[in-house]
Amino acid sequence: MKTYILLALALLCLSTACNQATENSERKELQEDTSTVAVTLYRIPSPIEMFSFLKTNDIPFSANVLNPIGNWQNYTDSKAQAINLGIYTTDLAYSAAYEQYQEAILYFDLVRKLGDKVGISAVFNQPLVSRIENNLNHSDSLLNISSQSYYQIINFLNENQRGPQVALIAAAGWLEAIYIVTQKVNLTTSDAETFQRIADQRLTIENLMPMLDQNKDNEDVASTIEDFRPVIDFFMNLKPSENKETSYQNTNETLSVTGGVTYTITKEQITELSALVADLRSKYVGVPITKKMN
Amino acid sequence: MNLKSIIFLLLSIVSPYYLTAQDYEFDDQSGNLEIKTREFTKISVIMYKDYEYKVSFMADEYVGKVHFKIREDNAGKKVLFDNSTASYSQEKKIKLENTTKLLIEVRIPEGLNKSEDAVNKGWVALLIEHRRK
Repeated sequence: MKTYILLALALLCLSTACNQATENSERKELQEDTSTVAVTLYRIPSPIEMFSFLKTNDIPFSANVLNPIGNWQNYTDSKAQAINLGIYTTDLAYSAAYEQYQEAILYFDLVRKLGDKVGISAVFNQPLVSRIENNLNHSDSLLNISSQSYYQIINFLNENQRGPQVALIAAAGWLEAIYIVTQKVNLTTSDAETFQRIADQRLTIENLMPMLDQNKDNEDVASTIEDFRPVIDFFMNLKPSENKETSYQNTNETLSVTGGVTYTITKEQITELSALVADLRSKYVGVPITKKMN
Repeated sequence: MNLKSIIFLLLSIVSPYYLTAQDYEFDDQSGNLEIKTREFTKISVIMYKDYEYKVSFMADEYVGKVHFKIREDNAGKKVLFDNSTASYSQEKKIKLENTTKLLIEVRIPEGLNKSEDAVNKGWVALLIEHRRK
């Protein structure tokens, strides 16, 4: 529904903008491009993409990899709250992707509670809450609402220039997704597609690092960078299996890109990664981090 | 009702069905951006090889069409697409052989839009969608 709304709004803008631009392009010539670069924004795919992938590859759901619901009251400082909001949002996405309605509603409720503590209660407005309550038996709606929760949290924080919290929530959400996939991947069958998806996280790390670095003046972010260091180093030490020059072709509608750098990962490396991620994740979900509230 | 209103009404009715037929899903790397006339805003995004993507820009009327480029996000930063060579098309589909990091650069072009003298910056929506290959 959100996409439709976006598209309708877009069309409103676009239909008028197209006419406007066409009229004007007829009477004005373009000037030479002398632009400089203002700012670079880093984006990473949401955890939902990972779980859609796992489900498509018939990797079963396990409730025992979720961060237990009862833990949420232990998160009393700003870092623990932001980090575990990211973790619970990912758990919500995992439950929704696998149509686990009961877990999804419980984790949505947790995300809302922690969201209040992080100061983003405006994201969870009554229409969103009503929609999830009314769509418990519709998997597509549940997945869309889960996606909206993640997107709306990140977008709300971005628009309110709360970069440190965006970085913490995105980093923790990604960590939880990697924790779940490394717990669930079947190392005995050499599932090539899942191995490749894990190796591809090297690129996500390349965007996650600058997201964190841009906010490292914040104490919580600075300590999170140090927490993540072993996982970051692991991915940055992956060797490319292929490094072909990128080639591309443009048709009217489509840009097709071939080549580029590809990373691979072995069973042994996944075992190593799994331990690193589980260790870090345990630190966040199981042990309250001692620091006073901001 | 003028022609612009009729076109918008028709597109608004047809678009959800068109979108559903295409099976594209919203990608969370989308977002609203404040862009400027003389400066490119760069957005680094990750696109998985299992998906086909569609990148679209929507801007306020006073901004008009935006100028965007898609580059490799590596040391070379090779330009893969520049919409100024495609009549400032506001949308591009992307297919990838491998999971790839791309840079999308966007700005308000000088000389293209009616009120460029008055517009130094404005808000645009970057809509990224994907579907499984």
